[in-house]
Amino acid sequence: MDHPAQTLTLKFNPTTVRKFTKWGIALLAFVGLLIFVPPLKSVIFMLILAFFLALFLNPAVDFLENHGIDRLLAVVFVFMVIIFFIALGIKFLMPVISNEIEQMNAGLENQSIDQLMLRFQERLGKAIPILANPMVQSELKQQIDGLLRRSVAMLVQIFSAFVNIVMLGFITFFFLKDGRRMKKAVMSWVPNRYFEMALIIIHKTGTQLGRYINGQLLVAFIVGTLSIVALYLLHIRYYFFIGAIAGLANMIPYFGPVVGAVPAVLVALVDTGSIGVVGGVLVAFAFIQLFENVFISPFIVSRSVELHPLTVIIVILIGGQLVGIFGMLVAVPAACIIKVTAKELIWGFKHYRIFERADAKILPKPPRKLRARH
Amino acid sequence: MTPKNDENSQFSSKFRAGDALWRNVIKKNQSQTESVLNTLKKVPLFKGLNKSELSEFDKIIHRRKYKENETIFFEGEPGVGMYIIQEGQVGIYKQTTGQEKEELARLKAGEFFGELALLDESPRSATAVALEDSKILGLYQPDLFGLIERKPRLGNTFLFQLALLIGERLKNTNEELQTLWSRFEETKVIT
Repeated sequence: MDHPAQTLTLKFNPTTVRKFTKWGIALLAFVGLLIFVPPLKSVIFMLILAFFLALFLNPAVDFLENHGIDRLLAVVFVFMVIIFFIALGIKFLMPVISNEIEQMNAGLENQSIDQLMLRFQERLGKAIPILANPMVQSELKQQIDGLLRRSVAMLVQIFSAFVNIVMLGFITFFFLKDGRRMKKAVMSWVPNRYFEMALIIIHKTGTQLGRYINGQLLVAFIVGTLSIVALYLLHIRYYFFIGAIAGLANMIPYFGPVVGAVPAVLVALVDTGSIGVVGGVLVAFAFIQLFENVFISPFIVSRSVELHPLTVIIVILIGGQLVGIFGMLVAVPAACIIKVTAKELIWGFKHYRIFERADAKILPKPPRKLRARH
Repeated sequence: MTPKNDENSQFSSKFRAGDALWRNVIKKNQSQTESVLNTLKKVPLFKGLNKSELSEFDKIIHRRKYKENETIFFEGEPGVGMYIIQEGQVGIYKQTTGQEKEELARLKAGEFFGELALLDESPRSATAVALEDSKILGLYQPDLFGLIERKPRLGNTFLFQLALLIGERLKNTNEELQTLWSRFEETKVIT
């Protein structure tokens, strides 16, 4: 039996190919700039962060606008509410936080890091006999030593980050206020041929990303609060800090919950050395995770970001390797953008006649009128 | 204020030039907005809307320019929104057999097409081609849905006008169908 040979032919319009090449080179140049000019990298990070924040706050501004409030006033109102809550947080939580910092300082001053480490190793050795091995111990000591030193450097970074927070606020403010106009301006650069496709891609990506970020932040807040309460009930020192870290770390899928539990377990081990308390912390964290996975996430986090668990893990590892913790945080949203864009592009190339000549000459016929035939 | 020395006068002339530049940019934008609002006023879908309501639509409308013979959209492509002709002329074509295309209509400034795509993403039923260099306003579904969420009252007014228009067309189609049916019945009786 003879089957007709199936051939796939794509008609490439030279102008389209030239345009794609031009954009490709521009994109490469941009990536090159990012790699070779480090300060630019931090500016871009700030813009990305502000963009995510604006996406998170946008529903609140839209809600107010829905109730007849002017957009500018709505943005100002949302910012005032945020500032109010930050001020409230500082007023009520500062005594707790400063107390914890004082305790930490006192703890570190009273006993040198070496003494602390010795106590930690001693207790660890008793709890888990294999770790009593001197080789393992020295390696462990080095690791934890480095971790402590790095955490001090991190504190300095956190303070300098305060300055950036103000800048971040400004950028977010303008993204919220003029976001639509900015989007329209960007869209005006898109050539006619790809316009409808680009509009759909940007809309779908934005919606999914907005839902994902809102969901993740809300889940982080709930997990953080639950962790703080659990650690407080278990009488773990620095419960507020550790709980807050657990909440934030929860935003990184799969790795987050483990990373969040580590400081709590370490503090419990150093402080009490009791396997019972450590077990208590682990059970509490496991319960919080179970609660999050069964009751919170299914209702809050949109299931539309359907990434395979293996993809999520690989993407987070790549993000972590490239830009550290920040990379891990934005890895999944970035993967989500890439996935939705790729999906929509493929769909668009199938349904829109992108590669056809847009200025094909059509020979007009006289208009047909149904009524004229009567 | 009179400049005291050369440097000052240079500065002030530069300042004036800059000022004039901005004034021109703003003026140009204003005149563009005015022209968009004037076009929208002519479209029945925006009937009964005041200037501030029309300018809400101006915020979500994209201004596009098409060259002569440039295709605006192809038949069969998924539709995303409607187009309003601000300047120029647009031909609407339907693919018949093979490569032949039949002209269904020629639209002029103030007329619109593709409005059904605001309601669903079903494929375009015809191809639209700019017959001369044209300025066309695009109103797209995602932006319209955003407006409905933010300003429900305004969104409802627009949707009501759209429903009226579609209802009117349905009535016309029914009449045509009835005429055709009666003619068909007549021919059946004769044979």
